[in-house]
Amino acid sequence: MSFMQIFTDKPWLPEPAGEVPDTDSGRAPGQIAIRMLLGAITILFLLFFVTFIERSQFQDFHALAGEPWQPFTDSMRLWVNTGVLLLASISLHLALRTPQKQRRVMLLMVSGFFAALFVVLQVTVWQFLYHLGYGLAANPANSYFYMLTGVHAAHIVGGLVALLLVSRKLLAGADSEVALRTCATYWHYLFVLWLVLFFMLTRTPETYAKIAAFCGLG
Amino acid sequence: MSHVAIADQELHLHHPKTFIGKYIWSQDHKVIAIQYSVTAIFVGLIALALSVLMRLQLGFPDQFDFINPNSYLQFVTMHGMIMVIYLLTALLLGGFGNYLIPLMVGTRDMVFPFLNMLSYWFYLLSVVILLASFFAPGGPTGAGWTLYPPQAILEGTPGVGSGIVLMLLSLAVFIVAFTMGGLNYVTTVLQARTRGMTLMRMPLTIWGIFTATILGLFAFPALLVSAIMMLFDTLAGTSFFMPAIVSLGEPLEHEGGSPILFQHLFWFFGHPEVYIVALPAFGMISDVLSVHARKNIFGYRMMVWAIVIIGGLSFIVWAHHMYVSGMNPYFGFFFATTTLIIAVPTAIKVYNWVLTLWRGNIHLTVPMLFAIGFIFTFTHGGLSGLFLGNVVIDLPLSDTFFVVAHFHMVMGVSPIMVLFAAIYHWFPLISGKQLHTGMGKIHFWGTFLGTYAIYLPMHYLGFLGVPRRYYALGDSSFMPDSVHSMNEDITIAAIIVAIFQLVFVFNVIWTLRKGPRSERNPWGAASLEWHTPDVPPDHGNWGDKLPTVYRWAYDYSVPGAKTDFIPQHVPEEDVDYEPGARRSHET
Amino acid sequence: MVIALIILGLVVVTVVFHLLSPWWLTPIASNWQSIDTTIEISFWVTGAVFIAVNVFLAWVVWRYRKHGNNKAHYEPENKSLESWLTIITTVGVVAMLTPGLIAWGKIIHPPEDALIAEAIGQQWQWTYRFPGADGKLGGADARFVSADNPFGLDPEDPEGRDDILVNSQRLHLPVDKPVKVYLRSNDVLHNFAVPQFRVKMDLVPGTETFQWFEPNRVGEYDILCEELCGLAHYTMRGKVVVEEVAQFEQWLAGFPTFEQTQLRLNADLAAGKKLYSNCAVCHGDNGAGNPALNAPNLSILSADYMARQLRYYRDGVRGAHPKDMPGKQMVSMAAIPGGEDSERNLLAYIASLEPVASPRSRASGDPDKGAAVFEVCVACHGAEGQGKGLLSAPRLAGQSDAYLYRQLKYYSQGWRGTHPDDQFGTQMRFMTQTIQNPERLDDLLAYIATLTPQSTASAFASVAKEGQQ
Repeated sequence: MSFMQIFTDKPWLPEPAGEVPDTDSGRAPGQIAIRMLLGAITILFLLFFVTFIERSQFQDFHALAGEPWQPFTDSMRLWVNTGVLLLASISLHLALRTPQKQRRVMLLMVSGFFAALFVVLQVTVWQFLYHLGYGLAANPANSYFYMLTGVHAAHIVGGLVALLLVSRKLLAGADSEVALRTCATYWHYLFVLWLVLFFMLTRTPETYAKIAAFCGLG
Repeated sequence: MSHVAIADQELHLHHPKTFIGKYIWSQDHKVIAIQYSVTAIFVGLIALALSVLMRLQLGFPDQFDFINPNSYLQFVTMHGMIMVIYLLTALLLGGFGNYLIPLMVGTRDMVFPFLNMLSYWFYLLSVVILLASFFAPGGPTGAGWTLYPPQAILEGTPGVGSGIVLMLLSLAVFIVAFTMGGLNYVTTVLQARTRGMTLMRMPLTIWGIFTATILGLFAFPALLVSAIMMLFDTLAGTSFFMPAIVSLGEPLEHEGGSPILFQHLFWFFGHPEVYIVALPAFGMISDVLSVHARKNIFGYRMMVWAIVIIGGLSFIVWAHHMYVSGMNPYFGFFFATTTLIIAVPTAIKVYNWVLTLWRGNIHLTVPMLFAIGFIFTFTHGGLSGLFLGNVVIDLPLSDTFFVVAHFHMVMGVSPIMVLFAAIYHWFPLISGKQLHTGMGKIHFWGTFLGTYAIYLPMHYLGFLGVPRRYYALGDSSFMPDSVHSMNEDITIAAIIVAIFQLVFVFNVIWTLRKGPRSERNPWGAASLEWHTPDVPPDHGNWGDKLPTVYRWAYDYSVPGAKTDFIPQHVPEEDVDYEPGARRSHET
Repeated sequence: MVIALIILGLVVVTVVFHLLSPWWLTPIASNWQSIDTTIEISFWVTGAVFIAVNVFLAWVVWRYRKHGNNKAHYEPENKSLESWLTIITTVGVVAMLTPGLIAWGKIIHPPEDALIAEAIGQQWQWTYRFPGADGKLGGADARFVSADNPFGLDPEDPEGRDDILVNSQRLHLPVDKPVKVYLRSNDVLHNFAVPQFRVKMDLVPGTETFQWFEPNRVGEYDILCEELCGLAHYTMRGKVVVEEVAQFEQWLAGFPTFEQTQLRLNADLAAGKKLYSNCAVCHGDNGAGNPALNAPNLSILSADYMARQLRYYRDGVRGAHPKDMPGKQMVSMAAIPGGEDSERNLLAYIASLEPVASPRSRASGDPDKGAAVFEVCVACHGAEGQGKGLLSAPRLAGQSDAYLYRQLKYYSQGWRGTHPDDQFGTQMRFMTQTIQNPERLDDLLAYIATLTPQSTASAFASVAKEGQQ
């Protein structure tokens, strides 16, 4: 039934005898829920970004990249972390495609390991920044870096919990196909989200000015 | 995977045996709903007491030595925050949403019962953190429920140390709880409806709750963003919202932040929040009116469209709370226009409620009285909103008693009227007993007339310019003495209203203990929730077999039918018609 | 049945209340008649809807209540009725919105030739600034605020030098001349609202906002802060005085420019000491005061505070009430310095005196209970009662309790702080209301008496130093 049909249906008319309209949306509940959740998380980060772009146009904002001495002009560390998170995503994807249970559980563990490693590596990035003198409250650009990567890492940790629950379900032999698929959707989403974060947090002042002008926030 | 398969799978629902398993760590949506409701009503009573304390100071300034400017602001803040978030949102969605969704769409439980249980425990945790702030050093925050920085996190505002931090933490936990519940409600409505329950056959209650939940899922992130950023500002010394400031003679380290940014975030949540409360109320009142007037809801499709349109528009009106905030003044044109546009679908809902009663067969039961009271108070509150939404009128009226009167009429009294209508209406289903009608009527008249006595004059004090959030008005050149005596009268009215709520509490307790069992479906309602094999419904709701739905929820007084209502699960061929009156599909 | 009558009754009550209400918009004193017109139109539209919907509701409830065998009509929807109602509602909305948006267009565009003024909000008082001869306000920011520069003007900005600083909560404005009021805050959000002018706008720290209006009625109106700004939000009052241009200009000429306030003149302590012999009769050689002679402890007060009080005595702001006997005495004494230079010498000398704490003279009172009463004093006078120069709040710790007792009583009885030129009178009068009764006053004084110990010696020093400048 199309969208328009749904809303223009006249529900008070009696239907022909014996007919019961189909109400099946054809999607698993987990898939619907994860989409709603990702929608909410998207809004969460979108609003963070809007404030970030707005704040980036204030005088006192010093971007973390641009000049040679700034920490993310060369963002090798973050590329390494990106690679690790990508591996987590790939191994979960492989787990989904593997019919064999043992291999599946192993790949899940691998995926979890890489995700956890990513969080640890993010913490080392924080230490790196901190030792360079880029403290949390020293500049709004630093504040946003710590805060956004922190919120992202919290979502990864949440995903790890979900991954553990799914693995347990899998080991117990229950049907975990949908749960695994839901987990993978979430995992890939967090990877893409990280790419966006990576991009947003390591631009030069000129790029921020352009983005701000584009969004009408300048 | 189809819904039928899910439904049959769920026959192996987790049936706990022990008391604790059944009533404490329960995954049954009905038990969770009651847990939500009891907790919400409990904190609501605290907020009611706070409002009485606040009114005592306004009516009789400096007569009570336990109220000083600090504690007054704390009462104001906590009253507002508790009522909006922890009572209304939690009771309407966590309470009624949880109870009614599975029953009204014909499923055995929420699609994720464990998550649902977790949602309640997170909610309880948020309430505990909130209440803990009363015992924290310095007490709870007194920054006003809007928590505007910089003042919310600076000296000179009560609760600046731990109070505000606990408040923000509690909100963050609440948002987590809401998200877990919300995912459940949306998914259940989209996915777990029983056979024949098309979207357009759902009762408006479900439409209201469903739309409000989507609003909540997309609006609460804004509050979470502002809460996280403010926590950083207050705990880590960042400058998201904090510009350079000399606070009470001390220069601070902050620099460059934007306080208005917080306001945008807050109201991007705050305005949809109004509809998170209003839409479920709109839905429930529609059903109560229809059942007790023995008539289908008038213009069902228009009602559904209005709910969806209002929900959508509610995301682009937020800055009408900020006309005098110092934001770009050109925003005023846009937001005044969108705000007044939203009045059109809202007005249509009011017309359709009245038109539902028109040519009906109105049973003046207690729920119906509350429903009629709601139409009156909501009309009043909605119309005063047209003043505030129109940007130039907001200039003299913003931050006066007019604003207080307006939002209490539209978002305090009106949803509360609906909640009472709903409680009196669904109580027989929930408990198997019917609340005492006499006490119910006393409660209604006290609440309805009392609240109007509070808020009608308050609008006019606002026109005069009496400012809100003032601990004492003192002398001024423009406020006559009658303002002070009116404030006294309002306080007395508020105390009377509060006392009438005790009648309700007593009624509930008395009915549960001594009340006689009610009939299965005492109001003759056609919607699905009243047609479970057991009343109150058992765990799993539907016994062995899920119902199949053959019609909408509003087949009341169908021409030619022998009964004045036809339940949703009765197929057309089983309906008892007068000879020759049977409807054909084409009509 | 009853409910129908009651709904009808409430409609009547509402309409009658509206017509007879003693509370209504204050008589307008600015050019924003268009706001009142929009309100009036809105009342006609919403009033009509309110009456129509509720009278119809009452009639429907009465007419279609359950009686006999009546049966409800079956009508799922009625498209033409719903369309008509939608159209009528839209027309009503347009009728209200159009005049509103037109007026808003004017409100956000101040005329080019408007008089410029600035209102500065601070927890919890108002001050103002006018541009000097150049017609431009100089730059200002919270970062520049210091004891010498409480307005926070940019010392490097040449446009700010001739700015006129009005260190008073009273703002004078010329009648029939458009004014653009810039709004600035150095701490939290405030809101500049004059009910009679209709417009209002927030003050936002970190940025500057504005509003404009044309006062068109001579008179005196209240300025209220209408954005919650902390515990004493309700005390943040000011006055705007609308008067003829000549009077306004005369008033403005009485205030110093920023440049003038920045002059630092040296004081002659020896000359001050000589003058002080007049004061020492009552206040003692060491400035510690004498409760028997109603003389407060001066050794702990800052020069700024004392200068303000002397001015108040001379101008009849303080000590003018017939019941304020010690104040009357001071009124004649305040003339003794007899000139700016000698007063500066005198105050510099007093400020240089070693701070001495006065002993307790009152026996009653429970300091533990007093701590709770003191809670609201902390914001301005400091947790140790040490006073805050930037907030013009005098030191309380070490002050004679007999003196504090008398002053708090005077405030609460309106013997002090009622004069319109007393910058902090309103605030202190509101604050003394929170003491409520004599027992709590005793408790409060007992608590303040505990605040004298050496732990605040450094605060002594800094306050004293400030006074010497």
